[in-house]
Amino acid sequence: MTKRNLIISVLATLGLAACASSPSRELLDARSAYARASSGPAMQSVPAEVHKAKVSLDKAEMAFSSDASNQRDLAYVAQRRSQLAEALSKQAEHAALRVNAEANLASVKDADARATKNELNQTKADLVGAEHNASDEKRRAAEANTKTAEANAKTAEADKRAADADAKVKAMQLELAKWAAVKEEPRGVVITLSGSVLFASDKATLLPEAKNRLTQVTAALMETKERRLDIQGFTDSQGKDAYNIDLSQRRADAVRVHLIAGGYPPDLITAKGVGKASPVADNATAEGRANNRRVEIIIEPKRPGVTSL
Amino acid sequence: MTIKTASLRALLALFLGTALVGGCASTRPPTETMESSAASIRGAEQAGAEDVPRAALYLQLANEQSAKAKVLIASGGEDNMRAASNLLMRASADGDLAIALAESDKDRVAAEQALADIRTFKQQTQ
Repeated sequence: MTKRNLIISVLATLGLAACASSPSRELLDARSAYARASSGPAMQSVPAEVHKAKVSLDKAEMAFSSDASNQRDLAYVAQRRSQLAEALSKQAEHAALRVNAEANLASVKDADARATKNELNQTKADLVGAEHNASDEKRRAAEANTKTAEANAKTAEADKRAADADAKVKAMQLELAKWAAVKEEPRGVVITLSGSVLFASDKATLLPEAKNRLTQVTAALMETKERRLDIQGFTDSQGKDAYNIDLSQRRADAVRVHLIAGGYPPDLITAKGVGKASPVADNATAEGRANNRRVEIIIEPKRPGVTSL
Repeated sequence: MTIKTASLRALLALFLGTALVGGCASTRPPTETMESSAASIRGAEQAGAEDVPRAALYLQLANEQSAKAKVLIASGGEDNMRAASNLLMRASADGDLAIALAESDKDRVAAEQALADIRTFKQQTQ
């Protein structure tokens, strides 16, 4: 063997060893991102997202061990999936804070309106008492009058605030009616949400506008917090059954995660992908198929004595 | 020496041949990843990712990779299509992360606003 051959053979061995044993920076990053996500709060608040991150990391590990050409890309995506799980967990935390703070604000305003009303009643009573008294009470009566005027102004303001809040709720209901259908059925109250409003074609990530709207639905659902919710995803009859069932499951899961982020108790919500079964319209027309692509939130009827799982 | 060189050449030719035959499957643009990444980027823009520093970073990465992929697709060829598809897969993951970060920030800001409103309201009514 010549010196040149020896060098070539050593280099080749080194090269092979490097390919087979050293993971890319992307894969190292993906591994540590998953380790962080799976040991943090995301595991509690968005376990399904952490699982997706794990599936993505497994795919990247497999690509690495088979030395696939896109192993770096898959590792990059896996890292993002773990970061996404953490971001969604953080979002759930922020959403809960928001719901809490807004509820506090409403109750503080309500308490103030009630206090103002009481004050007004008291002042009126004082005034009546003052009128019965002699002329040396006139000064006190005048003071009471001023107080009444102040209290009246305050009440008017409180009333206006209440009217504003009513108008807001009405507007919200009108808005809801535009994109969701609500009906009573034996299985419970069913809120039907159009698939095209919630998701981009073939995707299971909620559109931002859909998130805002779902947040409104969550606020309404919080009133019946002890009820069980069953979220069911449906597709039209196009495409393969297995794909449709998986897509509808991921969509139902996405809606569930959002409701939980809004503060609804996770143990009271189930999510199921039904696929093309139970169509509500004719799959032969485009309009019918659009109606069949949907997510239903079923608010199960109250069962006496059952408060949680 | 000559035998060794010849066998090396044969091996190289075989390897290249396999790669070419295996690679001639399709030269069509990767429509699915194009649509998916475009939807993620659009979603991040709608969510206001540009105004949230952390989200803006990932939106920018998504846009850059999508732009690179477009150049590759325009040049054509099977290798370029595959590389473009991988870049678009990255762009889509970046975009999805940007959406979540932007939405999370919206909730945080709203919570802080509500807390500030409570403080102001209490000060006004006292």
